Amino acid sequence: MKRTGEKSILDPEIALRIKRLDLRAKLVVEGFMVGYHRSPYHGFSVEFAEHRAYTPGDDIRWLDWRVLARTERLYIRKFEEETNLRAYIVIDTSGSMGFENKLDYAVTLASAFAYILHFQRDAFGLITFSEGINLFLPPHSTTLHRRRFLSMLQSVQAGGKTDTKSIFNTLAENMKKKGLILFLSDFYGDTSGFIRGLKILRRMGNEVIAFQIIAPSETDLRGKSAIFEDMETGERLQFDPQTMKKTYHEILDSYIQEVKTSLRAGLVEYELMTTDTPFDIALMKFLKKREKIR
Amino acid sequence: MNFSNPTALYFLPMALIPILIHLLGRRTRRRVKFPWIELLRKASTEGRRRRTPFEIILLIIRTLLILLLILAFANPVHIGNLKGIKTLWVDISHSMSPYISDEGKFIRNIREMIPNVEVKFFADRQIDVNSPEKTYFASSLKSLSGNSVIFTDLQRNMLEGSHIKGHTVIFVPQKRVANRGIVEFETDVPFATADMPVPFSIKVENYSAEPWSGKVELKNSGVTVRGWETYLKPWESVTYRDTITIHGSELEASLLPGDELDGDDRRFAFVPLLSSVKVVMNRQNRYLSAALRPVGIEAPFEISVVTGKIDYPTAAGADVVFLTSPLSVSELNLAKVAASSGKGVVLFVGDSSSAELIRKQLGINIHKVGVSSIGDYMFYRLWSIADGVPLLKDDRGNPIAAYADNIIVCGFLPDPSNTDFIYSPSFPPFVNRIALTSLHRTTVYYVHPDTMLTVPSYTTSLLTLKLPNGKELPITPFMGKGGYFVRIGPFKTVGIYNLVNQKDEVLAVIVVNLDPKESDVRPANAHDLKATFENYEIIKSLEGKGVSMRGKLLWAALLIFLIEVLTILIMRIKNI
Repeated sequence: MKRTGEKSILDPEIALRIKRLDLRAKLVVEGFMVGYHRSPYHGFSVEFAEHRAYTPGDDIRWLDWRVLARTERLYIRKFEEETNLRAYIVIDTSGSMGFENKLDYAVTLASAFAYILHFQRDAFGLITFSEGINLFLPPHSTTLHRRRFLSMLQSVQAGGKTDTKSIFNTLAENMKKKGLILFLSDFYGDTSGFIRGLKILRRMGNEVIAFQIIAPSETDLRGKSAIFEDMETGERLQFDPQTMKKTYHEILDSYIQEVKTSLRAGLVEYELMTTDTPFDIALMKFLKKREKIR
Repeated sequence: MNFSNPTALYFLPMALIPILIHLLGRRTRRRVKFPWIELLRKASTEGRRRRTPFEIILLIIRTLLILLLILAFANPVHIGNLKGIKTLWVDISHSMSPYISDEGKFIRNIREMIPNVEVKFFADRQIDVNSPEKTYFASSLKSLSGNSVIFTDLQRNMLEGSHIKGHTVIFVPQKRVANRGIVEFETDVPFATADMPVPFSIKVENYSAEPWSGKVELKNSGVTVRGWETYLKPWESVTYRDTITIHGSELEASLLPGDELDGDDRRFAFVPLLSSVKVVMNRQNRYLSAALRPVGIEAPFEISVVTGKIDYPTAAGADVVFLTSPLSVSELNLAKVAASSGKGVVLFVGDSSSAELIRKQLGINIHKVGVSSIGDYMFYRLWSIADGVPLLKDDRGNPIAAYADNIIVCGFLPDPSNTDFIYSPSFPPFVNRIALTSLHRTTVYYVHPDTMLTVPSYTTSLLTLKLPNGKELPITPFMGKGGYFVRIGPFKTVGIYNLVNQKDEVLAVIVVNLDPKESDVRPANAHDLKATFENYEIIKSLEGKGVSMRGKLLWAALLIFLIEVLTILIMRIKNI
């Protein structure tokens, strides 16, 4: 039997036990970095703009020491405030994401993304949606922003139906500059709407990574015949997992394959994540994509 | 269709269990929250489309399986084409008693099988199978519309020649009636002298389910001469063989305690203890000469034959007088005198005028016998003279070989060419017959209860059969080849049946017993019947009511079970 002590912090079973989201994200990212031989942080994302004369009160950290050495004049380095990447982390908080720990998993993953983005000085924003936009946090890269980001994520709860129109409209309106979209959802409810919307975002020039998050118990149905109640619509269905298990597997596999194929056809990166999948897989996917963008 | 274990049918609703489980399984109350049931719905639709035919097949199979098992437990019995049967003829002769121990219960069982059936019994009534009217039995069946059924353990000659094709005969294999007692008691010598060893054998049989212990005793003229402590397991028999010297003719084998089940607790054997006999004959008679010269047996007594004119003193001094017809009136009177003096007189009558004379003078009917029987009659007379005591007792303890008139009148069918068979050394087994014949002056028949007996009748008038229980049954003679006959049997109970005329004169004595060795008629077997009837069916037990179908049902259940296993395998292979 595997001992708990042998498990990594990247294991969702371990990571999700940490209640504080900021700590959880930090530990996950640092745990990931131990095994990642290259630094995930690629330079200063803040661009140099111009010099200006030093005036008393200026922070001496921004003095250009090289100019001082050559000219013995005090100049302050001015930088471009905006980063070169704007990332939107989009989380589906519809009722179906409330199944088991799917939302926790998505939130942890999102906070880990945010952690990395913050250290890269990338601006990152947050959008959660279900029947409409629930939370919208425009992208920024400040530490304060990160705290707000994590604070908002901490309070996220699953509920409501899925409405893809509002989310993609909102994203399209706000994505004035090309950016990265990290889309975390189970794609349940309006699958075709998800696929269509993500494809449009991709066509707009954005990089899109779609993480389909499902729970292992969704694929491995167990137990006797029962009335299954849809967590979003409340619809009920008599279903016998014992007798229908194989057929369900076939249909689920077909469904996942269809989502994957459709998204990849639209050049959208796709990754299926079950909630027992270690976080490093998703993080690796993200970082590789991030490197490409640079 | 009938069931030997009908209470099992109460479990028939159990056959609905698979259907109930199927329905109840669908109606679960357990609720499970699930993120998206759309895929489940598709799976359910698809799965149902694939599974439904198999599920229906499995439901049918399982229901059928339970049904078959319950039916097998109920043990249905097939009784052939009995539906529509209006009349059921049931043989209730004695040999059927193992099957029909309780007539009321039997009838109830029959009526469960065939409602509204008319049950008729035959056993005591006359069943005339050889009559020109195609037998009473057969004609009764012919008069019925539709099929009739006969339950019987038929004896060979019972339905011989009858025409009951098209009717169902349910043959009950003969089961021997439970019997316990002495089944054989024989001596191997026809005569004995005072110091002569007499070999004997006594067979005691316990043909029953219970063990028996007791004592077997042999008495000679009332004195116990041998005794054997005996223990017999069920269905076991023992034979005691030994020799004794006798001091009297009567030998009695008995069981202690007595009153044994359906068997004899006492049996008698008679070995004449002889010394000398004076025989007087009115003329030389070649039959008598042959009879007095036993073939292969040395007579242990002296025989002096006086022929010629027989006067009164001569007759009075003789032990036995043989008179051969034609007889004069004086010779008849001589016979009367000799008889009244206590001497035996045997009259052999070979012509009808003498027979008529005897009938008028002595008031005795003449019963014609074959020449081979002369020796039997004569030796019986000799034995009875030598022994001087009654030979047999009837079932009431009365002597049945009494010398009431000391005259035996024997007519015989002329058969001069058959002289070699006048005397047969095999006569000892007929001692009983002769003794009874002497008493009743007629023929005695030893028969098995299931026998159908044909008895010649000198008259066409109505005769009466007196049953052992005192009841009387009228019987009408019929004309057959060579004269008139009556047919009697089968017999419901063992005992002595007397066939009497309207003057209450005994024409025939029928001793009904269960010992086939003493029966004149061979019991029938299944082969005889099979050859006789087209519709032939063996049913092992009437009260079991037919041929059990349990075996077939269990095989069917096994087959169904294999089909179920196969169906499940197919479902697994096809991933359904």
